[in-house]
Amino acid sequence: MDLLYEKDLRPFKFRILMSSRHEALLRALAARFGVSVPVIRKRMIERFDMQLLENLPARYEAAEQMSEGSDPVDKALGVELFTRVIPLLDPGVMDEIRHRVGVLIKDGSSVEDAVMAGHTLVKEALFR
Amino acid sequence: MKKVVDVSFPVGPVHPCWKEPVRLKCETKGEKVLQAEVELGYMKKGIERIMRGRPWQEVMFLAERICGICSVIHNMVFIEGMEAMSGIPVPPRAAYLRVIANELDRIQSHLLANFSYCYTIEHETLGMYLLNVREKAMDLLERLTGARVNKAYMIPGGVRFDLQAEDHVIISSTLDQIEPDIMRYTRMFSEGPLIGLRSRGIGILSEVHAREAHAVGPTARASGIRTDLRTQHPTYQKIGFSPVVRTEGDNFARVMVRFQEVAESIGIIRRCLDGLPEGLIRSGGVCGAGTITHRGEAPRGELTYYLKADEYGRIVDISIQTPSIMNIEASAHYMIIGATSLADVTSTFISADPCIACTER
Repeated sequence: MDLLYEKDLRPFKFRILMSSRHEALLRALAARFGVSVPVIRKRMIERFDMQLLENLPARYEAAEQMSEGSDPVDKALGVELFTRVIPLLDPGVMDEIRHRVGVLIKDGSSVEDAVMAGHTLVKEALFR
Repeated sequence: MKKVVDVSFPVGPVHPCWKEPVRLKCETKGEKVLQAEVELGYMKKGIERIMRGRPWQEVMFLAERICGICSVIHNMVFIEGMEAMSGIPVPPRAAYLRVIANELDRIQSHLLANFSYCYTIEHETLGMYLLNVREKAMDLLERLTGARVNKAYMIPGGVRFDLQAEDHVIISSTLDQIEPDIMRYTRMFSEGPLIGLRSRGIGILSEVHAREAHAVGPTARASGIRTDLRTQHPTYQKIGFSPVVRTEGDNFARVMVRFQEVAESIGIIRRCLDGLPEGLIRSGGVCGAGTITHRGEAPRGELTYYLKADEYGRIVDISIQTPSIMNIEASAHYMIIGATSLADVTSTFISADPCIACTER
């Protein structure tokens, strides 16, 4: 049965992400992970509702202000950013990545190397 | 929306409690709301796209057509942005008149929002009382600006009409009539036992979640966040002003913040009238090229205009972030979640004063 109001929302969501502020945010995230903007855009369209998509730039700005003074490893990995502010990852997955980065640092890796390894894991989790 | 259980409860797009069409899809277990999703697109105007490439003289009229309820602040933020970009001074008298128009607009917007809430919780009597008072605020706006909805009162370098001595007297005497009514209705709302049952402890937005969703305006201030862009505005700083903040974070707090802000706005208008400087209301100036991010405190919260203009004052690029974008998101993704009765979904949503016209622009 075709329900009157059940529509494919992907074209609407795509239009929301085409604004100049959304474009700037998507470009920043794409540069962070070394992927193309459409890849990020597709992931967001799949995962977020229209209102969260509208609010993404404001959330990102708020997160930038809030992250001042937070743990540098968490900040570099985007623990809060990708689980709460732009919730592309489930908190359990991020906890696992954070734990593995912590183990690497404990085992003698430099913080930079551990963060790089964690960054790769975040990217894999986001775009697998 | 990722399904946890297979019961979906759609609210809208057309609903007696909604002022504008929006669809809220709630996933429920019994009466408990597990998650909610907002579906927009029923009244998209594409106004940012229409604005691009047009001269500021046309964009100014388009800006206030984004929202019929808070049109003054759209006019104000756009014009102040153009002035800041082009270095156009504003005479002190015009700056005070702008504040009066803005606060009258805030009064009518807050009263309409509180009417909607009272109507949603089936307290139509108080709602109608509030609409009656709102009508007086609308009359004052018409007296000051010459129109009720789309006023185009502010122009680069000043305002279009001066305040006559007769208007001064009428505004003062009407405020004297409105104030005791507002106090009485605030008391009716805060002490009403049935209103309390439908409002206290319902739709709680914690400070952490409010910050996460970047909630703004009365919605944020009702959750204990001391944010109000009027405190950074030079004219408001001269007049003196203190933001209303509550900490409960529930429907009751959000409505009460708006009631208290109406009283605060009456005080601001009185101080403006008492200290209204003499002089010109228009200084003149030419809008030129530049890029700016300009913010102002709308009745619903922080309104941001990202503007880029060329040397002829044509708007090359514009992006508008309205407060309802943040507040509706906070409402749908935090306040409504965990509601133990479906009847609380509509009242909680309305308590955030959602404006779909602003959100969809």
